[in-house]
Amino acid sequence: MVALREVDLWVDKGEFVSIMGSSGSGKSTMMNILGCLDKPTEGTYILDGIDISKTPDKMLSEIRNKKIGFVFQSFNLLPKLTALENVELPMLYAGAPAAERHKRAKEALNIVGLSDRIKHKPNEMSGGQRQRVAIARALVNNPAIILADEPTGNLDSKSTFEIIDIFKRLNEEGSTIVMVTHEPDVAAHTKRIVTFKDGRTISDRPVEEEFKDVNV
Amino acid sequence: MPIGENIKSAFKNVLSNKMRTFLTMLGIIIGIASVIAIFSIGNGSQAEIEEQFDSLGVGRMTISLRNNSPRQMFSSNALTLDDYELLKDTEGVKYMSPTYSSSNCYVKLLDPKETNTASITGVGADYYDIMSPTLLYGSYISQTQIDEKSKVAVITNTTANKVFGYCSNAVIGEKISLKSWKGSQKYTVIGIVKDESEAASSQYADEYPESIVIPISTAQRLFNQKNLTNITLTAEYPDNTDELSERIIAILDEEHNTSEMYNCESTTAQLEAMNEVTGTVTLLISGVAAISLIVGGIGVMNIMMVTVTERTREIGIRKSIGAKNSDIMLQFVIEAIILTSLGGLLGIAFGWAAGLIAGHILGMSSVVSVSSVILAVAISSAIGIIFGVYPARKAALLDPIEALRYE
Repeated sequence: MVALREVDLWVDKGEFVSIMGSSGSGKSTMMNILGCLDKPTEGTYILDGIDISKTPDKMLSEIRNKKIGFVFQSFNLLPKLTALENVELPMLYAGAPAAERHKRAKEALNIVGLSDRIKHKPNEMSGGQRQRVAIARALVNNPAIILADEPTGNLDSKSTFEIIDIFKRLNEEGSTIVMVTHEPDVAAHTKRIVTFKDGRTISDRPVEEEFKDVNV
Repeated sequence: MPIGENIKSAFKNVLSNKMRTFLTMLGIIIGIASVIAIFSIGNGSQAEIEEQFDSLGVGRMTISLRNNSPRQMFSSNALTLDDYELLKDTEGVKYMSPTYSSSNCYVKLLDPKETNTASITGVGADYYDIMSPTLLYGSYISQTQIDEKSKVAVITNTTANKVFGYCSNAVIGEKISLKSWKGSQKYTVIGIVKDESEAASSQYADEYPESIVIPISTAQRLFNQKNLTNITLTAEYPDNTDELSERIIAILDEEHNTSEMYNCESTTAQLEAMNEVTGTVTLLISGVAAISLIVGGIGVMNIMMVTVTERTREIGIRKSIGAKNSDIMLQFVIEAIILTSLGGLLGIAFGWAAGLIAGHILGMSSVVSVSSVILAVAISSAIGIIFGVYPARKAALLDPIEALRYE
């Protein structure tokens, strides 16, 4: 079975792109490839100047660590670790010294507004707070791209707004963000929308144009 | 990932489920505890046996009649001074002394009305070198005194105190009175040796016979005997007493035209046999302990497999944020090692206690040696590595996409 075919996507530094599509449209496979968790059988994927499709598997973990920040629908925090420890984890695998890890993890948690929750464990926090910890973890290694897979899928509308707000702020400060979502009102806050269907991109337009059509 | 952080997080995980951890470690605990207990008692008895070896002397041997019945003792097969003369230059003999022992004698004590049994040993000039007693005052039996059949005696400090009431250089030259069926005879004390027998430290010291050493010639005349009780010797090469023993027996059998009439045994032979038995028992129980350790290791592997499955999602998360396969591998191997070495440490504690208790009950001392502790820690860590690698590898090779999807 072929999940994706003839996909041609270019994301510039500083863009905020949302990927939309129904389930089975290939957007998850796309995210796995973008996140270097999977490799395309054919074609090339170049991330920050590195040809991932030709990078040996052994080096992909380092690329995930340094170039990519993941934000998942189900947060994917380690339940036994505190917020601070969860945020420190990517730096741990990067081999950063303890003092630097603490400092940068605190800064990242400060950016997402959780300075007062650093000692809390995931089960002591609300969904929105957990997702903010996950965002802090995603940005702590200064990645080339933040990949968010349905980041608001498990959240109420108030938390959804908070998370979107954080992403917008990070984007304004220069972060490149690609976000999968099936909610049009979430996608509306990004700058560009790519729509997948049956493994192909059926549209790729700036957000203003996209919603002009929808509203017709 | 720094190894210190890995160990810290492994400890956290291992300690987060204490009951499961303890049950998993049980096999290792029992295995290590039995190894430590067995070795501690083994070491203790070994030390005791070695002490006995030292007191009996290395390479000391005794030639005697195999059948020590009176009929043989007085037959033509009995050992004589001629046999001694024949044997003393045998290759491999360092020192040799004929001995004649008898308790058919009494010694007069300080109180003129009191006597005590005297255990008389007639000896040759080499006897001092063979037994190496601690000479406190005076000198030992010399060849001249043997040749002249002198009435001289070497006594112990215990006897000196009982006969003269004191033990000092002043006793040398004094006379003791020995009473046999021939009547009383005066012997000049020429030396005092330290009493190293059981009697010296016993509270019933008074009831032990006085051990008195006199020249062999004098003893034979005193008891009117031409025969010897036995011949003692020290082997030149203590490690190879068997060959010397065979040679001596062959010479005696040829001389007396007999076969299997004589014994020539190392005094340490029995101890060696005992030592061997202890060694065998130690080995046997170690084998049982080894099986317990293997079973324990399989238990650890089993629980690690469960842990890997339970934590599939965690592995996926760690991989997605940049953990290398080697990071995951190391994490789980370290957890297995911590599991088994904690078990090893607990095992050492339990084994040490069990050794003390068992040693107390069996009346043996138990010694936990540093080497057995190091061995126990090394073995338990090795088990962690051996039985932890497979589950850890399984964890390391998980596909991150699959792992992240795992519920």
